Amino acid sequence: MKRREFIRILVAGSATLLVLKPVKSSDIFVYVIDSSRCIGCGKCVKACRAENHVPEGKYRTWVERYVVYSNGELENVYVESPMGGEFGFEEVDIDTERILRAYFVPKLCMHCDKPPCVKVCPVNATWITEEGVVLVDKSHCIGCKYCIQACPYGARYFNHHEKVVDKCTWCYHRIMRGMRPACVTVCPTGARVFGKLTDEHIQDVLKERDIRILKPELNTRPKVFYKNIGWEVW
Amino acid sequence: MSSEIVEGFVYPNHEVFWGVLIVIYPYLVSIITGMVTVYAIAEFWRKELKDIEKLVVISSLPFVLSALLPLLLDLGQPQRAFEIYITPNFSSVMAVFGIVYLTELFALLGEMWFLFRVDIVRRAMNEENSVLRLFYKILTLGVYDTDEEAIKVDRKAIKILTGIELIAAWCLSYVSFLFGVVKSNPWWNTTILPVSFVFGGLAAGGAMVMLLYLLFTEFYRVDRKPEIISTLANYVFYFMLAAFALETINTILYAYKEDVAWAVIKLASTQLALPLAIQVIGSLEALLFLKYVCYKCNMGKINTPFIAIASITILIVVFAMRWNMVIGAQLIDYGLRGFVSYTPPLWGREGLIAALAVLMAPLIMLPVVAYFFPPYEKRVRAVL
Repeated sequence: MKRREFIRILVAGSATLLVLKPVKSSDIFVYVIDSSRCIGCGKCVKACRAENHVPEGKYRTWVERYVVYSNGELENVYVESPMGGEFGFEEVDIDTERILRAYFVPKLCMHCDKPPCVKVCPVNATWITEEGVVLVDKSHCIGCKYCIQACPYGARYFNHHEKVVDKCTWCYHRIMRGMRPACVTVCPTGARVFGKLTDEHIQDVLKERDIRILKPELNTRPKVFYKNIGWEVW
Repeated sequence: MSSEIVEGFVYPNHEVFWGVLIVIYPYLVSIITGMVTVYAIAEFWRKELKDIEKLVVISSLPFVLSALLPLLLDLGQPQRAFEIYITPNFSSVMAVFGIVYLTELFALLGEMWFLFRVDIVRRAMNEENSVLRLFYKILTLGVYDTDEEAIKVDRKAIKILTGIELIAAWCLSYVSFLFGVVKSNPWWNTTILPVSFVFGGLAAGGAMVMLLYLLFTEFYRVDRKPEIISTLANYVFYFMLAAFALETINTILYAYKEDVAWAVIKLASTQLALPLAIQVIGSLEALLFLKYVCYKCNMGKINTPFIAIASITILIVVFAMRWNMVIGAQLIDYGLRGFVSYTPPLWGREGLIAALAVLMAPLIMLPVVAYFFPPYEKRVRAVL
């Protein structure tokens, strides 16, 4: 083979590989949480545990309660999530007169567009799919727990039975069949909304001004959006 | 391991994921960096340290071999550890460290071979025990040339390998990047951390060399040289001073800035009262002792107990520094509203007994390495 011919084949081969390389779909999934609708019933946490066999004491999703109160001075913030909010919440021991606002905030993996967990995994056992879902290959994970350390949202946990890291997958096995995640399906008030970025009901929500993401300063670009939450949520 | 909520709100999945083993990992790496740096100083700059070259090289090997032990024990799936080399993610600091570690190991083995080559050839030809003779014959790799020209080539190779090893050791020491890149953890995510980490490592490695020098000279009945102790103590003093100053500056900066994380860091520090006290009091004590040791050595006297106390104190102080960095930072929840406690279990893979075994592993391996590659062989025979 002549040199010129070899270079031609090399260039053509590289170009073909570049063309074949999958391009990122704009049809990614996103998740919206309307805090004003959440009643803290914990059904979502229960459904998630049942659907994904989440071990006791670990959470792929959980619910936090925020109570902001004042004794005449600047705001104080009380946050709790007893057993991840799985069994609901007791009455809070703060004088109702002094409460300025109180609400529930469901939390889960943010399926970030720039996920720090994916960046630090030493063996590529966690990755971001075409649909924008961050997954873990449990058969490849070495259990170093580095991704847990890197996740600013506390969404990952170590499965002590399987000795690997696990997390919310937005019920990937369901959404790829056209179903919704278990937590969204069971939510009695519609506080959890799931869909593709291009879906009309998602677009309508995202057009609103009070839409927020958590910890934007970390530049992780989360795909979970929040409505009706205060500054105290991060 | 057990993590219990001490105060405030923490995310439900929060616990101290990296326990005492991951304290030991950067600790061992620190010691390696210090030892390799001492070797490089001896090789390139301070000729008075030539006497301890062999001692430093044979002592570095057990530490390098042991450095992976805590990591392997900490992994959930240690049998998959080799995946780091098969499917590496080059954006991961951990994967890059896997590669740097191998570079360090092979450079050290190469350096050791060149340094001991003449001894190996001599023993391959003169060793009375046939098994040992065969062992050394294999180690010669078929090269029996020990004339002046060959030794010159050996020295040149040692210089090149020392350079590579030094770079690799410093890269390894930047293991602190492993923690520093975790932007969600305010305790780790500081610019000063990697630098103070390196200086702490240099001090610990230097202290370990001083301690081993005392032990080996005692065992082989070799005369101790005040200029060796003085040079080492002087380096260790400045390394320790830099580490201590940087750690202090970091804390002062945090306290002054008073950002959202400071409130919880301040509270969580109460869980670290003992290691923090060791870090501060031990650093000051070691610095004083080191200066005294230097002063005595310059007068031609060697104060062995003071050297031993200063070295052991530095080793304990640097361990406390690593503990505060690894464990302290994990006590704080990423929600920055609470913290947990950490008590390592006694037994089990991540327990104190296992940790102690890992810490002792290099010291157990060292006599074996020293048996095959004695650093002061000629002097021992002369004495005997």
